[in-house]
Amino acid sequence: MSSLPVFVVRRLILSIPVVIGVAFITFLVAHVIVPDPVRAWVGLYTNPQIIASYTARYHLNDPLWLQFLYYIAGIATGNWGISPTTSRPVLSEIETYFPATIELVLASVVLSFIIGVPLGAIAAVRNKKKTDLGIRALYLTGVSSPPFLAALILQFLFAYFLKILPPIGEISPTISPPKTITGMMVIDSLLAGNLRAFFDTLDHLLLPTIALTILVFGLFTRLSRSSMLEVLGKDYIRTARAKGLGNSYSIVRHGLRTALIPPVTILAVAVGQLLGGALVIENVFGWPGIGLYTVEAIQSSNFPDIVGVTLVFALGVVLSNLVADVAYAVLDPRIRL
Amino acid sequence: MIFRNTPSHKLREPRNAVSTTIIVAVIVVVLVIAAGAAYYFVSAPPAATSTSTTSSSSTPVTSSTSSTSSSSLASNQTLVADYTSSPGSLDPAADDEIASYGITGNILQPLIYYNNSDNAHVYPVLASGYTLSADGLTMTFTMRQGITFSNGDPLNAYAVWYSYYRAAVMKQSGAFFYSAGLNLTGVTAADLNMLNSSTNTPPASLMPVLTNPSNAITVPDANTVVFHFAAPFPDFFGWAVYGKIMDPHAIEMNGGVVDGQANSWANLNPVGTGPFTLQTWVQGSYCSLLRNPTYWGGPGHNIFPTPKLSRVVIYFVPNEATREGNILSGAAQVAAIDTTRISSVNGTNGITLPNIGISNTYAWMPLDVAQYPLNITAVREAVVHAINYSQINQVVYHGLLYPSAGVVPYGLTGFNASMKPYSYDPTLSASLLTQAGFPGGKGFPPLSFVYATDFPETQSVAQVVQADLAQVGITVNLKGLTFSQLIGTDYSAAANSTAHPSLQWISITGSPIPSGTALPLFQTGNYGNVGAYSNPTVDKLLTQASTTNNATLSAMLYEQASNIVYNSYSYYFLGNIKDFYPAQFFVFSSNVHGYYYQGAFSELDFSTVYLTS
Repeated sequence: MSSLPVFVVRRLILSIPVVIGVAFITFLVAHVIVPDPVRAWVGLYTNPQIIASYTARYHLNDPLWLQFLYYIAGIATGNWGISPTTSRPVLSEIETYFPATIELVLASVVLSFIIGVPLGAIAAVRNKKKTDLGIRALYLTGVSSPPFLAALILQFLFAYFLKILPPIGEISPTISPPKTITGMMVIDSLLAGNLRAFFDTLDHLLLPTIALTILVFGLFTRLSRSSMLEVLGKDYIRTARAKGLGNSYSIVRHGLRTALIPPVTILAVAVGQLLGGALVIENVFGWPGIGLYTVEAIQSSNFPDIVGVTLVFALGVVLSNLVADVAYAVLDPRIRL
Repeated sequence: MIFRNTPSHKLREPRNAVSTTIIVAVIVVVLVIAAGAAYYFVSAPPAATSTSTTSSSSTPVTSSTSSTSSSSLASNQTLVADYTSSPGSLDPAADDEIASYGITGNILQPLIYYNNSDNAHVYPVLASGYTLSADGLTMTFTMRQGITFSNGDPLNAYAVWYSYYRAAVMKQSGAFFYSAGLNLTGVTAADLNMLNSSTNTPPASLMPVLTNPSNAITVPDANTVVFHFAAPFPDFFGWAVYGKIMDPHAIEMNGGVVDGQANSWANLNPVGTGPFTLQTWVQGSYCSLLRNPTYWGGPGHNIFPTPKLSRVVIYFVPNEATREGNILSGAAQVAAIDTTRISSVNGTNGITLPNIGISNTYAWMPLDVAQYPLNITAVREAVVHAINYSQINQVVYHGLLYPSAGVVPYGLTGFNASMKPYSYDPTLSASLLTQAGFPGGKGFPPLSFVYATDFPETQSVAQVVQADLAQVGITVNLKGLTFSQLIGTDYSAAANSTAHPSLQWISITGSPIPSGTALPLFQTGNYGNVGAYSNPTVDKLLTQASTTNNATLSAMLYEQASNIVYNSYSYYFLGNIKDFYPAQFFVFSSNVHGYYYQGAFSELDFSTVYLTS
């Protein structure tokens, strides 16, 4: 464990070329697919002065390698450029939208873990019985469902048919949004002590979270089931039972911790999948997250925003992988970093 | 020690494991009950009258011009509308998109405006009157007295000057509408930043700039603003309706004007004289407008009256299915609907697509006249006669296309009512192709039809065109791009290259002025002329038509231009779209009233809208 700080620092340093590489590829691709970005940004109604202004502002007459150098230099100093469609700094736009996605993804990860791991454990204990079959059918249905379809069905059922949950948005317009501290409205409401806003934002968070959870909980269930099956066959579980400890106690106290290791490591993969799924879910529920922002940026060929968002996603995946590796080492003392 | 499996020696699980489980379960149950109770008591419905977020009474206001008695008005005058996209900025000088204008049009006001749907008359709004000099080169506006911005700052002529030149100095996309037809040079950011007093009055040192006769806009005093034109500008009003007036003092207190840059504060905080104020904008989610408690009441004639609505909530819902679900379930009272979904929604659950008449949104398909073989007149003639207009109208637009053609849309000066889309005649088309050296389409290179993926009807149009042209032996390859990518491709690929779209769908909407369509689409090199059409005679006719105040002469010149363009077969005209708000179709719940169509407004003017019980 004393090597942990060294490991973390080493991984962070190694992630810098990864992120720069992602930025370069995205920058290149964005410039190729948007041949005349200024026209794409300002639309039909424009004049030569406006075109010239945008061209100079974004160095579009400079060679591509020079434009990229400008960009990297800006990134290093915290200037991620100005969004041509909103006229605001890209970084502050990401700061505005990203917390909503983090909130959605975190809620989905927690829910997926809470539902998936115990289900997997139960399925393992009831291996090949009806319970096991039922749980496997459940997670296969979830994993196989297109997220868009699952979202629309949930929206129709709970928002339009039963009318017990709101169909879109993050907060009711009759409630003042809480002061922005984290950017995550549920947490900000709690920090502000505004219980009405807290429960309202929880209401709004529920459907998109469930829709996103359907996408991923199966991952945890399946992995938890297989790892629990492996643990159940171990000698130390048999020994615990032989010592007089009950079945439940043996499993929970001695088996679960070991069985938890693979699901924890899959968190990084899950976060990546959830970020991708969020693009679709946010579109259906009008959730003002980075997914919605990215879709709009792509539709308006807004490459400064597209590159900025891609960088954030890349950083997110790198960091979540790092967290998973560290968690693995913490959970299993046999692992050496 | 030996253990025998007898009841007396039966092994038991340690007590503490079971007790712990029970304790945890009990705690969880208690927490859930407590949370539910807290939710029940805390989330009680709000009181029917004003909340802490509103400053105005929720009592409906009855317009003196309204024929609806106040007893039929709903007590809750909060309207929820679903728009398709969120605005990038709420500063009209920075953002020229419809999504932005649709909101700022309810908060900010121009000098003059149309009387709702009446395109024939313009009325003074922030101006109390105007005069045009005999030579047509000077338009003088007198400012209306006693109007303040929603923050209490006074409106005057200097604010008009500031708003126009600020847009020009910032050089963002919104500058286009402020500077159309005007040469807004001669004023710098430093000059503008001198107008920073709370009374919006300039220091003496700024007066030489304000009265410089070389400038396009001069302000001799606080009540008078003068526009100077290089040539007669008959369509000036059509552009001036977009010139929204902002509060100089508010902007100067929050970053001021910087050459070539937008103002981050102004992007988020429009301060205007309009019937509504911006209460909340949760970016990407919704914005909430409140009735302006200090609103001056509008110029009368039911133009921008004091609203009956106390609040408008505009959700930004990009997903069509969600917008439909919202309007059908009653979660929204107004929703934008894709063209392809009209028949599914119209008439369901009391939702209607209102009959608002023929809009001045004009749809057409330019042919790339620089690209081989479309650069051959006979080929273009063959193409236009091969396309079944009636099929496009019925299948794609549900019969909502008003057939029209020419350089000027329906209802405007110079519109030629006798000019219709080309006849569908595949036999004539085949004959023309043979004459042009492509019998049965043999040897005809494939054409590309690029449609906009963010406008679903354009893909349908493309498919109809592809099928129709295939019948005469012409292969059309379809390609989908977002509208912004399509525009980018139009201007990055040379018109005579195969990378440039051979065919595409475009529509234009805006003020009901002929030059707003004719010049951009048909004049050589102009911003909407994406098919590279060029005819010096047409250029001259259009310039003359747009710079004469003689309406009869102007109409004649536009018609002459229309004849030339029509006979060049360079555009496949679809016509004007009926029942179409400037950018999309809107459907309304049956209890929504008072809305009207005006192409210059960009979305909905909520000042005239009200809800009945």
